[in-house]
Amino acid sequence: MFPMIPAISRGRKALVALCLALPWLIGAAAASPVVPVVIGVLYPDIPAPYREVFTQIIAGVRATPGIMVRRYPLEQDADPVALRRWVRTHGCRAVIALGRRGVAAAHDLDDPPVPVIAGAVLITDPPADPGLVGISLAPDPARLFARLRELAPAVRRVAVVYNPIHSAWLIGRAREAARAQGLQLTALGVGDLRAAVDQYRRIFEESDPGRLAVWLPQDPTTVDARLVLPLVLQAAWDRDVAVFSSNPAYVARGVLFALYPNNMAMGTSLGRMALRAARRRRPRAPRLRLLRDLSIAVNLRTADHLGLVFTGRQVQGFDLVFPVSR
Amino acid sequence: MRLVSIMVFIALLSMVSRVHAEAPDESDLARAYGGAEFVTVATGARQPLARAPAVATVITARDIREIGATNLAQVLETVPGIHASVSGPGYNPIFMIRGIYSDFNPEVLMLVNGIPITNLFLGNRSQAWGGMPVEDISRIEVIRGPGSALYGADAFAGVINIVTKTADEIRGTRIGMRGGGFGTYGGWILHGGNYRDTKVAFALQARTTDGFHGTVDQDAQTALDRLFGTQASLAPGSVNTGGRRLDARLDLARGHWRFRTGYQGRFGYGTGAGGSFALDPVGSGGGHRFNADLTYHTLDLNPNWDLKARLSYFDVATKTDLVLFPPGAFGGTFPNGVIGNPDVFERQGRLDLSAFYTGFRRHRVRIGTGVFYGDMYKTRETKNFTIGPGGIPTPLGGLVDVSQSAPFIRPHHRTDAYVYLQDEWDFVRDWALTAGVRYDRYSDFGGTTNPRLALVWQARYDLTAKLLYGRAFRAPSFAEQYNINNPVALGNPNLKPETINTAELAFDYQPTPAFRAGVDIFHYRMSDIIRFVPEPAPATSATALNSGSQTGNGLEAEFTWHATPAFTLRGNYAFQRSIDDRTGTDAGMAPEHQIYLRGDWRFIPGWSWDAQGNWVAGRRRVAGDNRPPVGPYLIVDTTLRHRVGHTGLHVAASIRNLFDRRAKEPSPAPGLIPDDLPLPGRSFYIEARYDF
Repeated sequence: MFPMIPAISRGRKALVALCLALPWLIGAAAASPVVPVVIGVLYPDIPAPYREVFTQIIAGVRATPGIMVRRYPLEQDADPVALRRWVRTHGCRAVIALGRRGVAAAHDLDDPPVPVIAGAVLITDPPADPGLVGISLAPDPARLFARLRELAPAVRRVAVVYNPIHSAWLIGRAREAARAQGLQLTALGVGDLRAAVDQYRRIFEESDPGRLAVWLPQDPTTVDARLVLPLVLQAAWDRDVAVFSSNPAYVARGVLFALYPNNMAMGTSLGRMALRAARRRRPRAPRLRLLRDLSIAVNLRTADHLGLVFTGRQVQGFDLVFPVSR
Repeated sequence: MRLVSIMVFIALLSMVSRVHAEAPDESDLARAYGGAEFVTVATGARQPLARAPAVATVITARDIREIGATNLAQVLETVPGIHASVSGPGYNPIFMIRGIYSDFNPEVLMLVNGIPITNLFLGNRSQAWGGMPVEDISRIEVIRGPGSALYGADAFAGVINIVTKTADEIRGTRIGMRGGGFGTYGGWILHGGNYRDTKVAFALQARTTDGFHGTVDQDAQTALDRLFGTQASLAPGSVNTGGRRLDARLDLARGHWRFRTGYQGRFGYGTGAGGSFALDPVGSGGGHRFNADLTYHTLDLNPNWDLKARLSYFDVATKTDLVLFPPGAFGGTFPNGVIGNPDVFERQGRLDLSAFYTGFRRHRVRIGTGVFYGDMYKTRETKNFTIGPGGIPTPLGGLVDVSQSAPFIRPHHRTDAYVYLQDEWDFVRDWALTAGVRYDRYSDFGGTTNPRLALVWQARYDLTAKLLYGRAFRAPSFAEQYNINNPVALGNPNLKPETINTAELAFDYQPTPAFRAGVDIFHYRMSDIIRFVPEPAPATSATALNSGSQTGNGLEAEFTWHATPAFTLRGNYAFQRSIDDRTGTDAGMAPEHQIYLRGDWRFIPGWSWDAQGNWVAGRRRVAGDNRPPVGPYLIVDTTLRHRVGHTGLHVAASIRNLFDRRAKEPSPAPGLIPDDLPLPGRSFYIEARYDF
């Protein structure tokens, strides 16, 4: 009906050619000669947005070379008999159990016994099951401190307020990690929020601007977003203290940086552990490790306030940057 | 009825006070990711750094999905200070930002992935716009206020940047279908993956709609019938808003390189309330937009340099077949109606080079340069009339191709070469001054220099204050410069660009983790406004002139409150008062007040419910238009979403204009459509999508 314009004609042809090439590219990628090991992934069937976390972890497991993934979404009252049958039917050589629901369901996989790798769960010390192998959702303090040294190189001392009941294990690891980074770790044990507030007050009163950083661990008994966080942030702002965390939401509020799970990479790490278990090799020590597959969120407004300057390449490497509009 | 609407809406929102209890797994994830809101952010694609201090809003793909929006205008209506109105011809959207209105809306710069989609002919987004589907949109960045110091021409009242989804965001294949009111059916397929180190994103979206059929009681022909003693008008009759569209996009990224291309086809689009404000059920518009760009971006050359080079191409064709006045018009001299079929073909090329430099302590320097070539390389027109003395159409004796003899405009082109420099200087602790300036040299109207200044004070860890000033310009459209053979809109090649100076004061405050609020006040003054001004009598023609100025003041306030892990309430209020300095009266058309309220509630696992209300009020007439002000309206929309079982299947149902309010948008003065332009009544939609 309408005359064709030469320029558009060329453009359309190019578009059509690219579209036609797409299935060929997909086909080429799918043709892999590797004979895969079947790994079952049990994960809680929970609604969005949390479900996306498991979707990404599973995508990471799939990306592990040599693995074929079978997925098993778990409802609240999963039937252990059906699950055992499912593992047998699909010939799963190992199972990755995601979330608390996944780990609980995997307890029943004893007939036949299948190696189980736990993931996407906050495991505290001591783990409920000493035989548990896997990756905790808690970031490895070594990674946190390494990032701290990179972003705020003048910092020499890190203070943390923690609950010994929940985080003694973590603090033990943190002491080693701090030493390795040349940092002095001041760990103050408390039992409740009121005691935590007192300790934070003391930390800031004795702070050395520019050389002290405060670490907020994933522990609701020592860090509360409603009461404690505003106090910490205001004091840190007034006294030029860097605050870092494992909670990206805190970065939006004013914490300098936080590390949080990189789901795809975590999935691939779980996949590698599962593959190793499936081949009946001993897991590398420690059996249950802290998370090293991490993304970073940085608050550039807070960095400006602290006088920290990042290169363009550093900023490009940040996964989330706050504030969204400056 | 309005009171009932408000009460029901508030009741719906207040039903959600129940505290949501999280399951253990959700509790673990909430601790690791910082709550439901942040799981979405943390599992999304990498967020870019905002480019410059400004009053800005970012709308995400999630926001778009939750409000059940199916086109861009519905999304932008939720932004404080923006009202998406419609034009009579074609029912194209008019995005009024802070009270700035004109018939073709060239004062708003729309970008797709940072590249303008402005048409040379009218300075808008084409008369066969046909909307913009939303499934492939990753986010929309909206800057209210001037942006010419960075973006150049037309970043005048505001900038709307549409960012499409990358392969990382799509990850896999997503398909969906939607159908519902006004005979609307459509579908989409998106695919994102990594093939031989190349990230591939592909999107295909198609839709057909009969369009809504709001009734116009009187049109321009009604008044002519009174003059000529005829009964030719098709009013009362319905507006025509149907049409078909096809959108395809491809994004290939490998290393430092990215290639993107897109095609938008628009077919058989209705004429709205008619090309001349006389109902036209027969005419239609269509065309295409094709774009491609190749970008090279590197940080590897030097740690202090962030370099980007981009070559882009944009091709747009707008074709219209219009019955400007119905059969029997002008005393029966046009038995087939007054027919005009103007077509416009354009192509544009751009080369942009930009760099950030961070080598100076406490400074972030941005520099850029580039060239633009825009060519309206073909215009075509067939028509069956010529304009006689007194502006009355007289028959040509049939449909005649006047493309060479007496077209509405002849082909023209323009070039622009530009350079800009911006420095963000942290001159004192917690204080940053951004100073920027851009110089554009146009081949037709010469040079223009546009500065901006921004002073940002980080007053507390939870409070930021910004004082902003900027100057912006709007390039005259080719229609304003070169129109011929149209006595009521003759072009003027000596036009200067319109300019605007804007000052803003903005605050952003987040007193608790769950609550954020922002407020800004603004003052602007537009100068050298381009208008078609009637020649002194006895001439009956009107010619484009830089004529007059306009002054405006206003404020915008917004909040977001995460009341419970499962319920979020958002809202905003916008006020503006704009005065036409010639007459000292209200500039008219734009709403003085707008209130928007939206609640999102995940009431049980797998289910979510969204309700939004938009109140628009205070739309006065321009000077000389003696019609009463346009009545206010409150429109409520609601969307229910559900994920089916363990699958990737999601279904949704939406009701737009739940209470079937008879809302109207103002027709321009002098009121050829006296009772204004009707908006759609209540409509239902259902949607199914599957993510593989």
